Amino acid sequence: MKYPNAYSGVKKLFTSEILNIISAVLMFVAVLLALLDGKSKLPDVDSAQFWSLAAFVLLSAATGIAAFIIQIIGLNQARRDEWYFNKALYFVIICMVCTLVMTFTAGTVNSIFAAVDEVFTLLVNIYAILAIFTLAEYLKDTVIQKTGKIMIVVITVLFGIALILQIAAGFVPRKAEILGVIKSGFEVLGYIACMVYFGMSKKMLGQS
Amino acid sequence: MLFNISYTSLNFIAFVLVTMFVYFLFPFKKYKWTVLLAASVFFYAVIGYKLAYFILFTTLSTYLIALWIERVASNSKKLLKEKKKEWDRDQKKKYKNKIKTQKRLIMALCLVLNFGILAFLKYYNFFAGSLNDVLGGFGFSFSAPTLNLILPLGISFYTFQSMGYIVDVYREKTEAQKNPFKLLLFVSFFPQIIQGPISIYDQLAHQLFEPHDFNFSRMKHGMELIVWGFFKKLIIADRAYILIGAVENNYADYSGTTLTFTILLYAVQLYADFSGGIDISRGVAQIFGIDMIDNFKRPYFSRSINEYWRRWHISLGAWMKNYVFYPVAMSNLFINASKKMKGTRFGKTAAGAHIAKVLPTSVASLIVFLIVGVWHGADWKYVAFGVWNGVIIMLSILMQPLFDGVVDRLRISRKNPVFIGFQIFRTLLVILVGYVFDVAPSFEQGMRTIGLFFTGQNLAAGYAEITKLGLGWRDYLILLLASVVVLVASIIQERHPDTTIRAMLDKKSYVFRFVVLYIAVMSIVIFGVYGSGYNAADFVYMQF
Amino acid sequence: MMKYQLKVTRTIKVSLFLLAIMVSCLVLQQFFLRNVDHNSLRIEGFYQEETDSLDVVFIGASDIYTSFMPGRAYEQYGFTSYLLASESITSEGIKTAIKETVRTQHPGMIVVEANAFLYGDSDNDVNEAHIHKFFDNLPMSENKLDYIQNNVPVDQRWEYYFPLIKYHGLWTEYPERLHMIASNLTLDMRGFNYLKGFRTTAHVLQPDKPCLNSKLAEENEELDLDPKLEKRLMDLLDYCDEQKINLMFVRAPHYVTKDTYNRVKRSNKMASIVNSRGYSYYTLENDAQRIGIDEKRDFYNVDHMNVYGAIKFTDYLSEKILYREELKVDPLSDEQKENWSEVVTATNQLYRYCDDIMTHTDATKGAQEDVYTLLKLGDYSGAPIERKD
Repeated sequence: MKYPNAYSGVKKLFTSEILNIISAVLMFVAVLLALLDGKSKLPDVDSAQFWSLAAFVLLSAATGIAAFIIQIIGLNQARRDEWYFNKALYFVIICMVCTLVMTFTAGTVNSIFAAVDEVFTLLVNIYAILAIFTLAEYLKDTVIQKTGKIMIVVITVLFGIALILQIAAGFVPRKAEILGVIKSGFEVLGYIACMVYFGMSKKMLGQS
Repeated sequence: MLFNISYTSLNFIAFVLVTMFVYFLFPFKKYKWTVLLAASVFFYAVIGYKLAYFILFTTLSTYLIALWIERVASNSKKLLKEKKKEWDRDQKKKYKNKIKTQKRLIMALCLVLNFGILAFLKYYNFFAGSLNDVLGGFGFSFSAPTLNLILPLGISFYTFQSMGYIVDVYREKTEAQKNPFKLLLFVSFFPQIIQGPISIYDQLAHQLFEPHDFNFSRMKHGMELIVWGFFKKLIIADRAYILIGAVENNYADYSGTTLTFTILLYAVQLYADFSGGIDISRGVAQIFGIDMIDNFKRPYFSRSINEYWRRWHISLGAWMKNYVFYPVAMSNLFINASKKMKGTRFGKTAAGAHIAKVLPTSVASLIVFLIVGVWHGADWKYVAFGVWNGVIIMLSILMQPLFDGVVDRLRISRKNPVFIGFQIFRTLLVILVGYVFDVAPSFEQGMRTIGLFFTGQNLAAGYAEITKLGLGWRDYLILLLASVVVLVASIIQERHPDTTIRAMLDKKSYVFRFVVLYIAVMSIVIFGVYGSGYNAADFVYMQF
Repeated sequence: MMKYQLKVTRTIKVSLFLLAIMVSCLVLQQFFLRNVDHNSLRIEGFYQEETDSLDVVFIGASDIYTSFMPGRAYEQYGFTSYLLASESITSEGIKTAIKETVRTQHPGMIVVEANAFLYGDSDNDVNEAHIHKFFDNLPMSENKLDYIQNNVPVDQRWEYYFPLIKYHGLWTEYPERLHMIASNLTLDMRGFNYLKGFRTTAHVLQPDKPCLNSKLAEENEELDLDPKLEKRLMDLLDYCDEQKINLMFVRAPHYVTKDTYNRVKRSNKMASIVNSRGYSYYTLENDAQRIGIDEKRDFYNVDHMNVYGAIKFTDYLSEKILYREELKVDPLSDEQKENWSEVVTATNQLYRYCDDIMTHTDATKGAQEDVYTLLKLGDYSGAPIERKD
């Protein structure tokens, strides 16, 4: 294997995307349930509804955190073989900071950091794809290269729409939940696209 | 104006973005120039469509007359070729002189028509008013009527530019443009129509008509230059103008200290305004792949007035040099006068020989600056401005050996920093006296101001007045900081004349460039003078 | 070989730069270079209210936001309300405010204070400051865009879309502006407005002109409204007919003098117009004495009541709304009730704070939803206010 570190790293990125999808789906279901119930706030603490919603939310958070950790480990490993993974790692750290700030703030400040987080999530994926593209150039794999170019455009569009919806929610607070649901949908599609590409790249790097 | 599309407006930025978009995506490469033409026509129509027939007349007359001159020239060449064996030398010389005279008359027709329009629109009321004053002084009751004349946008700039072209065609330095629309583009190109620079046809035309593809580096440099222009214009020039405008409204009421401060501030404001506007123009043109002449090269670092005018409004200086100075200095009248003087007893002395030698250039310089002064405006104060600069230059040419002698006798090294500092300071003083006539409402007020420099200083009164002229301490702080930034940039540029600050910035890391540009843009956003909270000062040279 | 990567990274770098500039400008526009005053806090607070959580929305100018205390109304009469009002709001502003209310709240009743229609001329409607005070604080919406397209001259529109263009020069007013900016930030983080838009000044008017309130009860004379303002009133009523809005009008009490007497007559005229269209109009200015408004104690200036007057007005008008207009009050969730009890406490504390100043000092102090005032309220009790009159 020519790039063992990259191979291990990309494998972990693949796993991380799967976890991201699961996390997003769980959160999507939780919000959908709350909306379908017609309430915009959480039900009372002693109700069964509260605990079922809480379970979804907690599971979503747990898988999200796991995805995040695996992503960092994967990028840290892969960066030994290709410099662009290094950049992606920097952006992941910025995402982490944004998420922390979001946890402790509300209102417009929260919205701004959420938007910034969205942007850097996109950048993490773009730089990871660029790294794989570069390795594919060295390995002369034109299919991965072509697919990489398409994926960059696809995830830019998907996460770009998610970003616009994130910003729009700040201007139309009454529709924030609905916009949040639609945004999650686009994010999930973005994660799926990344997952597919990382899966293909994993194969390429494993066979090199 | 249909709506505000001045260079520092959001509408202009939107306009440039749309033009860029259309230009770079235009599928017919050979006709990309038509996009620039359409944009220039639109720009002119928005700002001054009511007087657009003037620029159209200038373009049409220049176009037709240039073709006429070229036809006369090519026909004469054909005939000379045919008659090469038939005619003797005298006949050929006579014929050539006849053709030269013919071409000159045709060219003169174009010059008279177009300069005539400019002169009439710009100077009729000035002359009428002056004539009325003189006639009134002699007791005549007749008075010439004054008219309500409006200057078309950019008339001074496009008239000079197109007349330069016609002279170049006459001199056979350039071919006449066969496509009238291409000539219209040259005359009306939107980044330069408001305040120049005045371009030479050979230098600008091929760039306008060649298609340019999108180039990231060029776009980046263009944007950086535009940001720099906005920085100077909005933060320094328009802020300083708040005070200058207030003083100009009630000029006679202010103390010597206030007027001194105003003139000093004007020096800063004028440079920032004019060079800022030129930077925006050049930046916009650069985005489209067109390099326009840089109109300023750190003029306040000049060591003499001569040098100052080679660094200030460079395109006007170049135009004057090509089309006024050389024709005058090398005319038979002055060459003969110089020869005559050399033949006299005085002319045989060292001083006389020197004066005889430099007589054409020094008188030509005086004439040039008389025209430069009058070009700035229709008022005796501008005549005084031109005479002041012209006389200083003339005297400096005439007395150069004397100055050199003094410096040599005192064994002063011309590279000594103190000496250089003295020269720069001396030049600045001369420039500031000239600026007095720019700011003062009249010649008389200008002379009064110069007197007040020496006899009218009152710090307490000045301070009390200055603090009520619309600028707070925070504004002065921003003015100072921004001016220091411009000064530092100028010093760096002066030390590295072969490169640009943008090229130096390219070599730095992304983070460094990001921070510098971010600070520049956010400074403009926060500290810029724009929006309805301020009276945005029009570009000073827009009135031309 | 690296050409594609260079293109991508270059695009990213440029995009990041542009994004950083955009976000910075938005942050500056929203928080730091913004003409934040009590109007901003009031209007922003309105948009923080939960959808369909208000029973009554009051719309108007300073006449209403200094006279009506939503906290008192909830405590004593059980209905929730908010003061969507702005200083010297224009007649077009009233219409936009109603549209925004309909878009976001669907209250049982909308109450309009008549001031915007009672000017002797239509100059207020083109007063740039008064227009900006309201519209700058509205979030972007179809109604706001509609107003800008129809009323703002083309060369001024950029300033309405991006107020930063108009207010970027406010950096010169630092550090004086810091406390209002802090108030804005804390309101944004807190997520709700304690006083629901109420604002007052702790001061008792020392008049130099005699008060004519005693004559008002018998005053029936009418004076025509300004034609432009009357037309706008008609447009407003047409709109409310179309949308089937439960609308009523009120005229708050003032310290009426000879100079302002014509306004009373215009108010009477407006009452006739409005009544003829089937809407209620409460001329409480004429009923000032019946309400118990004491001209020697209950005003802080000729146009506005202090808390002594406001509490009487609130009680009187609340009864009218609840019983005469038969307002339907929606039940609240526990969380909402908790929220409103905080509002009640804050309102009562504010009353006591102002009472303390007016009783024991000669100071004149503004009291509103800002960090300074809210900090001081902690020294006072939030128990219900027992009126002594």
